[in-house]
Amino acid sequence: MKVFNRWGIYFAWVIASISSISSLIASEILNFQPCIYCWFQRCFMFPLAIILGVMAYKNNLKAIPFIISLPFIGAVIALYQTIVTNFNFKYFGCGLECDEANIKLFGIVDMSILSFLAFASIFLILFYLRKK
Amino acid sequence: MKKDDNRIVVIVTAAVFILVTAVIYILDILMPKNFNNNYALSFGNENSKIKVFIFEDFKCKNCKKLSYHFTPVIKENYLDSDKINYNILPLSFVCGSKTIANAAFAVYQLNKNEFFNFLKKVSYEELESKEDIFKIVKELNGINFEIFKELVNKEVFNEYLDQNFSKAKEIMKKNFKVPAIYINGYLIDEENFSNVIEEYLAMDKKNESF
Repeated sequence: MKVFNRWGIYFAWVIASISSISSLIASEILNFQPCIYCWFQRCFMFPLAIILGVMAYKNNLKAIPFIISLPFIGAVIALYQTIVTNFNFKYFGCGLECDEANIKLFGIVDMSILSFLAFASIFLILFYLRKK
Repeated sequence: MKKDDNRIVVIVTAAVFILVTAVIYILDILMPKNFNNNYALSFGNENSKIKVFIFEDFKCKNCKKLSYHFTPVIKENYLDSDKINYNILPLSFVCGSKTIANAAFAVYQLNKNEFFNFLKKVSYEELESKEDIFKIVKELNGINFEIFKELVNKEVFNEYLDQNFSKAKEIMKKNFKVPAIYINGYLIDEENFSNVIEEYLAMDKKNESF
């Protein structure tokens, strides 16, 4: 746990950075148009990649209470998207190319699940570190 | 000391992220684009190592210029002598171009040899209606007009146009333009076309002599 206390914020930043970069590569290089839910998730992930980077650089955890809501809201949106896209609730679906993108890790884990895992793990790390 | 360790690790990680992103971006630009001629109007030598793919909308002004002035030269210099494989990928996003694109596919299917005559006429004249296109096709040789009319009226090639449009978006992304000329997967300007082809032909000859 000692390692986690010291490097937790760094791990959270790495997750946020990889998520942001992958999202940009998917839209700008692989040419998958982000749907409205992807855009909402980006709104919550991109600031984390910057703020957590500064916190990791300064080794300063004081800003956690101010930013912990970002991964929580992002995770809720990602969970909602996961449910509507994977359980065929077409009426509530994004209707854009997210359904067609069809990038699935190990044949099961699609982009919304990956996004949920990223937000959830950042939230749990920040939640754990909030009183350190 | 501990704080400095953190800073170095964060800086190195950020540098790695930036480097990886830059490499992926540059590779995407430098790598040749993949094409197939499933939905193309394909001419020339299918086995040629020089493969040309052109996205065009038969109603756009620049495409018309290209088809009228440039395509006949290519046909004379490279297609009649079977030096290259030349593929036109018709698109349809200008108003009214769906009918011309369907007509182009129909002419290609019914008599491939008349296609370039059709293209020249279509690019020279201002076509307002289906009847104008039918009038042009009636003057062409070896085309069963009734079948042609049916193919155009039923717009049976719309699926091909959609596939080509998806491919064009995938390849050009935000730099979408027509006409767009690709030789062996690389985008080139119309002015450089002959030079690039000659370079490829020279390279091909060199390889053969080895």
